Amino acid sequence: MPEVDDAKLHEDEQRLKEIIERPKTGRRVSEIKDELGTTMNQYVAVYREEEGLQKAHEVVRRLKEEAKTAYVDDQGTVFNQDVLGAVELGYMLDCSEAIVVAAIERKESRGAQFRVDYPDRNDEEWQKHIDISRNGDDVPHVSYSPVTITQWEPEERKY
Amino acid sequence: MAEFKLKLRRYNPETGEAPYWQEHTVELEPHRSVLEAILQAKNNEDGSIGVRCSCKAAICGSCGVRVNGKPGLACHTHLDAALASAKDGETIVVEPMGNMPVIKDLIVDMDAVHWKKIQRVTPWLVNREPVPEREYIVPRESMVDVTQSMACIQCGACVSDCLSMEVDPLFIGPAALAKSYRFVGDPRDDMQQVRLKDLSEDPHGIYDCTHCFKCIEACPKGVAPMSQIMRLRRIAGNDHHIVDRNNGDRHERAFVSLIRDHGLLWEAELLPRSYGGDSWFGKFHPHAGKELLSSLPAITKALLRGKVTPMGALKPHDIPAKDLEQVQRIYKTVEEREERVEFNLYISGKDEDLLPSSTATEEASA
Repeated sequence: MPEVDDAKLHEDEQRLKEIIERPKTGRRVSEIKDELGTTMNQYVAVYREEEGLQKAHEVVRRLKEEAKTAYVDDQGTVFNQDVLGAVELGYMLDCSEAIVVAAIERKESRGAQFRVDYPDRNDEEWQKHIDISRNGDDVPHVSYSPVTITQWEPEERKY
Repeated sequence: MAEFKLKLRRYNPETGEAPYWQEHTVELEPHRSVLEAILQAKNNEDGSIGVRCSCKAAICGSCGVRVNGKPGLACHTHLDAALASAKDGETIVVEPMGNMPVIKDLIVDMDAVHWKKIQRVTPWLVNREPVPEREYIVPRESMVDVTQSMACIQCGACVSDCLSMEVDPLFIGPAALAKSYRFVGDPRDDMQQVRLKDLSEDPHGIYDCTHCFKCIEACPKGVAPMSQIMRLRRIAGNDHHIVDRNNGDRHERAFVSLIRDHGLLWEAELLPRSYGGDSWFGKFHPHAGKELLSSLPAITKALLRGKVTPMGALKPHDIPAKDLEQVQRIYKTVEEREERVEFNLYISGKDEDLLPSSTATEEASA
């Protein structure tokens, strides 16, 4: 086990304390989670297109802001699933944003992404990974890395 | 969409206050689950409601609760069914499971009870030595035999309502004993006799079960823990001839032989026969006398409550001779069988379908 950094521990404790002590003026955590799920399901499932993805991006950005003041009901320290939900919501929003940004970036259809506005696979431009990295608390940063082809050569999918 | 009235038993250990009831009204389709209703109340009204859940598909075993007093999985209980079993006809009452300490609201301490008991029964396969070099090919029938106990998802519903455990918290209990059958019944396991000896001699072992059927009713996966306990007893008593110090084996044999001899249970003779066996001589064994003496309070109680009458102690219940003959015919048929028939309810239906058609017809006509 790596040694736990006291400062980091303190920081995390403060983070939880801040969530627990938030005034009940913002939205409910579950409400934001619900809106996020509905949005992702509607615009960022298998069939995707620019317009819908942009809409989803806006919603996710807004929800990220709202999540900062989202409150919890449970102020206790025993089995506090409410505060756990608030922490997890942050991770969900980060992941959602990464998914949306990468989906907008990839202007082709491949695997589980079917871009209605770019229905074909485009190996020439897009046979590469899109890497999304967290850029502080701000917008995610996009970069690329090459694909290593091993046993299976890519070929057109025909059923 | 329909409205459902939900009444949850809440408990917060940090307030120092007693458990209390909280009511919620939820709006859901009647085919949705009680778990969905709890989560709706948690999401929309009170985020502090504590409930464990994960898969929502009756496979993870996390959401064991009592719905209208009956244990089961919240995700496996439809709202319309729960409403139909509501005691007042309109309120679905959800409580934490029994026999385990409540940590918070609907969350019980599975570690303190259920998992401790599972650990107690050596829940892994003990290999034959030397370990075979290649894989061990298990006969299909023997795997069929343990399939039922393998279906357990460790939800704790049977533990919740075990009546024996209520009286004796140390009872190993339905879930753990079903788990132990999973290995006792496995031909690859090298410890069958050791396991059975251990479970028979433990004063909180297999003979602590009172056949109340609560665990069979409770189980959402059809594991029938009590049936597994009875299998353990049959293998311990009949195959390994384990006569335990708790007198469990002899007690069970006394029941069987009394019904065989008299057609009905002769209550007054049950204890003497359990302690002394099937002969007059046995009852005068000093050990039997001592145990009989220790049973005096039970006998007195039985007399006071009319379960035993002084006349009944002298002679068994009357039963017409031809009826007794019928009872004894059942014994004869069962005892003349060369092999003990273990009926696996869990997959017996499918098993028959797999038989070649000729065998199936033969069996049907036999």
